[in-house]
Amino acid sequence: MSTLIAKYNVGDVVDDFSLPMLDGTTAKLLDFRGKVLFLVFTATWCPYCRAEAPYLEKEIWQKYKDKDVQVLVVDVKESNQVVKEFRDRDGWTFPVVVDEAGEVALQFAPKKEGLPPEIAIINSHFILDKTGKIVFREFFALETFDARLSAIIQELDKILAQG
Amino acid sequence: MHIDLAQWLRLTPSLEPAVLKPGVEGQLIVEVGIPAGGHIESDQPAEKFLIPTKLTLDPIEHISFGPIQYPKAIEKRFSWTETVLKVFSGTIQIKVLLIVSRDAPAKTVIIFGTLNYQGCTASSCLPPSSQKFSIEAKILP
Repeated sequence: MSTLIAKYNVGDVVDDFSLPMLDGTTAKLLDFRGKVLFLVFTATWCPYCRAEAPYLEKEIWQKYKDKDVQVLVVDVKESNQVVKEFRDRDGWTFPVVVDEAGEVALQFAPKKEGLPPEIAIINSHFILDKTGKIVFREFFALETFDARLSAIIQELDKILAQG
Repeated sequence: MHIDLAQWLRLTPSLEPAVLKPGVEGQLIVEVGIPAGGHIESDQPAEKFLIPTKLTLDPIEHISFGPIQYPKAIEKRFSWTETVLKVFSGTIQIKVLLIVSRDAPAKTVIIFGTLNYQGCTASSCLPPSSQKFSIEAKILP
């Protein structure tokens, strides 16, 4: 088991990384600089990721895409095919990248319950401002889980109000 | 605390009756202890991407296995969404009918099984995993 802990905390500017998209092209983090980025780490087998999946499209992407907000979902350690089916179920129209080796996930992962970072990161949310700085993060907890992503919506509204 | 996925559940197999007889049915009961605060998906999850709990048994001479009976799932509802999860939590029992052939000789055999599952703790969801178990079964005329 890896003993690495999260490289990034709130306030840190995230270095560029690139990951393959489902259509075979490559997405780079720098492509999204200049937008507020909502970064989601997910896995198709995770029931709570499934629960919030429709709300990512309906409540975040559709309502904020015209306000300089970008959604980027990072699926961790799964194959393209299974992720494509997952995406299509809820009609996701935002970019989805696959971190098959879990290397990007590892940089964001919390140290949690002695789990490997690529597992501890699942169902985590980050908001990066237009400069690429982490301004909000939320790790999964059953007690506070909210499929409607209320905390994210509140935070996005706050960031957008600040300009 | 380190979570060992190969031992996250407490699996306790037992037989009813404790000694099996040729030509007589018995039952394998696998008690599954799920850590407090956690749950595993049921044998019939709410949707196709979720991983069902599934018990499988290795084939064994002179014993055939009947249908596997899983307990009723708990419906975990989230009032603010349409989501319903069908899960198991606490301690559950999975039961399997055993049919011992009439020509089975007196002997001791070992029944090997595997439980596939996907679980969540209070703070993390765990990847799909499997846990093995075994139990010695005596067949006496």
